[in-house]
Amino acid sequence: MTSKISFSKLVRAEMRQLNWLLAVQIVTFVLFFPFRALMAMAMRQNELTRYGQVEYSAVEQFSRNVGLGQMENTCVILCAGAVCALVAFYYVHSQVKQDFYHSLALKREELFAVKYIGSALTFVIAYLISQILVLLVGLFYQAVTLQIAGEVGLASIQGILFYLCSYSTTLMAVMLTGNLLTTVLGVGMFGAYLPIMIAILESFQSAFWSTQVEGTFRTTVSQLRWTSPWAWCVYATNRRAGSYEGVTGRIPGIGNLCQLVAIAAVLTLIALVLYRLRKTEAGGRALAFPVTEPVIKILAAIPVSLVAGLIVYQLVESEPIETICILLFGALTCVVIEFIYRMDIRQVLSHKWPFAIAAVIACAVFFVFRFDLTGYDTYLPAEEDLASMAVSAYRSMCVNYDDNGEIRYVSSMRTRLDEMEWEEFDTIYQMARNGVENTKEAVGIDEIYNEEVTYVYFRYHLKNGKEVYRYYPVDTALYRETMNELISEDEFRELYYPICTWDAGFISKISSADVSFYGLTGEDLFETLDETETKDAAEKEAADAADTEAAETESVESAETETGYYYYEYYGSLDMSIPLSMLPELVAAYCEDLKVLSFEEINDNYGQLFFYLEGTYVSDIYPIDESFTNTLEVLKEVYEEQKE
Amino acid sequence: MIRMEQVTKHFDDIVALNGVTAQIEENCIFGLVGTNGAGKSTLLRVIAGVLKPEEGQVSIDDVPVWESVQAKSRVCFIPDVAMFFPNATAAVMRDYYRVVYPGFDAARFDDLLSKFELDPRRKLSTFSKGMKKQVSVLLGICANTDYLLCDETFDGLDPVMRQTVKSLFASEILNRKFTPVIASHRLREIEDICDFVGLLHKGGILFAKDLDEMKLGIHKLQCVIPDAADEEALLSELKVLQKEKRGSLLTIVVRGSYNEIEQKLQEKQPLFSEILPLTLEEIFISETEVAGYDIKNLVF
Repeated sequence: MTSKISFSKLVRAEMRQLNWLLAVQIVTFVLFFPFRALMAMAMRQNELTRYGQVEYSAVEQFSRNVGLGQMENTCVILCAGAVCALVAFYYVHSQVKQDFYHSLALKREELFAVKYIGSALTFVIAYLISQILVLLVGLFYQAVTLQIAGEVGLASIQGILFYLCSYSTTLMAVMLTGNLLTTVLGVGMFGAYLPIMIAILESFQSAFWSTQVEGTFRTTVSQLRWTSPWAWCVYATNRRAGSYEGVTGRIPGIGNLCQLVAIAAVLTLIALVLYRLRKTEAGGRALAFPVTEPVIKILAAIPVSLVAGLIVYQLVESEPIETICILLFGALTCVVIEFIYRMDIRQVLSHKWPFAIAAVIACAVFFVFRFDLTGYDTYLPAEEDLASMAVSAYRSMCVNYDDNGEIRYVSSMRTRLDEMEWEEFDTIYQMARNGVENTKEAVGIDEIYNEEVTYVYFRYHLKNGKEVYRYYPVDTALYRETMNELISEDEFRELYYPICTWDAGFISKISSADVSFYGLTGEDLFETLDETETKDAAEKEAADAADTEAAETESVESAETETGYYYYEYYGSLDMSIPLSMLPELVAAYCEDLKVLSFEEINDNYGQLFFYLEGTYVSDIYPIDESFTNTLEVLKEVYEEQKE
Repeated sequence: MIRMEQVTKHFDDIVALNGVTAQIEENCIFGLVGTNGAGKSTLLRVIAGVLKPEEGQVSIDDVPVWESVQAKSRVCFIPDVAMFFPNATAAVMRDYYRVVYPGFDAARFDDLLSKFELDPRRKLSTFSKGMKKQVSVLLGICANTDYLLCDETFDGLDPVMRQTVKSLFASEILNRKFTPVIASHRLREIEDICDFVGLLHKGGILFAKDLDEMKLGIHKLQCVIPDAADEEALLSELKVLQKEKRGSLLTIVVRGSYNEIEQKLQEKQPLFSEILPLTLEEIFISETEVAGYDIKNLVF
C-alpha cells in the first residue's frame, strides 16, 4: 500500500485533536478582547446615564480598548503562541508519541508543517472570532468608524505575526530540549537571557566605573528589541519610528510587518532544521543536543556568578570573599543544572570543566571591572586629539530652540553636554586632568562632605569624531576658578545658560512661569532686599575707608545676623506666579544679572525660576537668590501687584 | 522484503544494535526474539523509520526506509505502549488511522471491534491493558500495510485473545500480502505462530532462520556410552552447543540433522540413547549460552 497521506486531511485531523486548545483560546480571547471592550463601553454608558456626562465619546472610549497599541493584547497573544507551540510539538518529548508519528509515511518536514499549521489555525480561528466580536461590540455601541475597523483589521494581522514570532521561538526551545522543565527554562532563556546580561553589565558599569555619565550605557527600548523576538513584539506594539498615529495606536508600516514576517520565518526555519537534526531518542532527555549541555551550563553560571560577586562587592568589598562567592555561586549553578540534566543527585558533580570555564570567564569579567583594567575611569585623551570639550555640573533640564525655532529640550546630562561645544578648552582640560588625578587617588568621603571636591561632567569631542563623557571629582577651588573664568565670556555664558539666547518668539512659547524661594516668604525676601540695599550703601562708604576684605566679611555677617538670610531659620516659602506679560522683562533682567554675577553667586542659591513650555510637560529651571537684584526688582513689582 | 545491512545504533555509550544483518521475507510471520535489552524494540523502530541508524541501513524492496514515504507507507508499527490521543475512543482512533493510513479498512475495524466485544464509543483510557492491546492490534491489522511491526504484541493478551490474534494474522496472510514481524521474549508464543525467527543478543543477530529448519538442525541427545573414549570421540565429532553429564547419562544439545546425529551416536554403541527435538526456548537458551549468556552463571 503506497497511497499518500492527504496533507489537508491530516491538518484537519490534527485540528480535531486540538479542539480543546481552540476552545481554551476562544474563551481566553473573548474575555480579553470583546468582553473587555464591552465592559469599558458599558461602564461609559453607565456613567453617562448616572451623571449625564462622560470623559470620552463612545468612539474614543472604544478606540482606547481595541486595535493597535494594546500591550495587554500583545502579552496574551505571545502567551498563546508559546502555549500552542508547546502543545503541538510536545510529542517530540515522548517516545511513545514519536514512535507513532515518526513511523507514519510522512517526511519530518511534512509532519512539522502539519503540526505547525494545525495548531496555528486554532489560534487564527479563535483570534479572528474574538476580533469580529470586538467589532460587533463596537457596532452595538455605535462606536465603530471605518478607521477603527481598519485598525482592528491591521491589529489582527499584527497579532497573528506576533503569535508566529512567539510560536516559532518557543518551538526552537522545544526542539533544543527533551522535557517540559528544560523547555520552559529554554523559553525563559530565549526571552530573558540577553536582557538579564545587559542589565548585569549595566550594573557593573554603574557600580565600578565611577566616572561614567548617567545614561552612557543605558540600553534603550529600541535596542532591547534585538534581545528576543518577544521584546521585538512588545516594542512593535509601542513603536513610534516609521509609523504614524492611528486612533487606536501607532499604525505599523508595511516594513514593520515585513520585519515580523521575516523574524517568524527565520525562527521557524531554524526550528525545522533543529527538528530534522534532533534524534528521536532525545525525547525525555533534558537536552536534545548533548553538545549544548556544557554551553548552557557556562551561559547560566556566568550571570549568577557575576551577580553574586557584585552583591558581595557592595556588601563587603573584599577581593577574597568576592572571588569565593563568584566560584561558589557558579558551582552551585552548575550543580543545579547538572541535576536538571541527569535528575540524579549522584551525578551533580560530574562534568566539571564547564564550571571551570564559567568560573574563569566570570572572574575575568568581574575583576576587569573591579580594578578598572580597561582604564575607563582614568581615561584622558591627549589634548591635541581633541576638537572641543564641554563641561557642566548637574542641572535637571535645559530648554532652548533650534535653528528652525522649534523647542528643543534636553533632560539628560549627556544631551546637555552635547549642547555645549567649546573649542577654547585649555582650562576645561586642566580641570579634567585634575579630575582624573583625583579619581586615581580615590577621593575620600570627607573630601566630598567638606566640598573640597565637586563632581563635574565632561564631554570630550575628539578629532576623529568620537565622543566621550566622564564625571570626575574636581578640586572645588579649581572648578570655581575655572568656571568663573569661563562664565565671564559672553559666548560660554550663553551656552551654559541658554536663557540668554531666548528671543521674543521663544518666550511667547512659555505657558507659565513661577518663582520659588525656599524658607523665605515674599515679605521676608523683599523687605530684606530693601534693608540690604540701604545697608549695602552705608557699608560701601565704610568699606572705602577700611580694609576691603574685612569690610566684606563684616557686611555678610551683619546681613546674615540682622536679616536672617539663612533660610533654615525661616519656615514657609515664597511661591509666586509671574504674568506672561512680564516675561520678556524678567528674562532680560535675569540675563543682566548673569552678566555681572560670579559663578558662585549664580549657583549658591536657594531660589528657583521655573519656565513651563506650552503644549509640553517640560519646565526649565534657573537659579535665583538675593544676588539677582535686577530680577528681584521685576519680581518685587509682580509681588506688590499681586499683594494688592 | 525487508533487508537489514550492518545496522548499528548507539544510545550514548550503549550499543543497541551492532551490525545487524538479516532479511525478512514477505508473506511469512517473522519472530524476533532475544534477551532483555538485546535490541528487539530498537530494531523494530529502525525498521519503522522511527530511529535512524548510525551505520548501515534498512530497506524495503531496496528502498531505504529512513525518511522514505514510499517505504514507510508499507509499514505499520505497533509499539509496546500504544499511542492513543487523550480521551480518545476506538472510533476516534479509527478516524485518525483512516487519514494516516489511506488503506485503512474502517468497516473491517468496526466489525472486528464488535467481534472482540470492544465498545467503539468508550474512552480508551478506561480500557484494561489487554483491551488497549487488542485495539492497537486491530488498528494495525486494518491499516492494511504490507508489514506489521509488533513489539511485545501478545504481552497482556489472555490466551483466547492470543489465539484469536494469531488466527487473524494467519487469515491476513492468506488473504493479502501481509508480513507481521513480532518481537517478543515469550518464545512459546513465537514458536506457535512464526515461520522465521531472528535471534538477537547484545545488539547482534545470532541467526535468522526458518523455524522448522532451525528445529531440524538442532537436537537434544541423551545417551549412556559405556566407553569414555567413545564418549569423548562422539563429543568431538558432533557440534555441541551444550553439555551436561549426570552419572553416566550424557545430555548434549548439538547441531545437525537427526539422521547425522543418529548415525554418529550408533557408531559408539550406546547402552541407551534418545534424540529429542528442541523447543524454541531450549534453542534460544543454547544459542545464547554459546554467545556468552549463561543462565547457570546468572542463577548461581
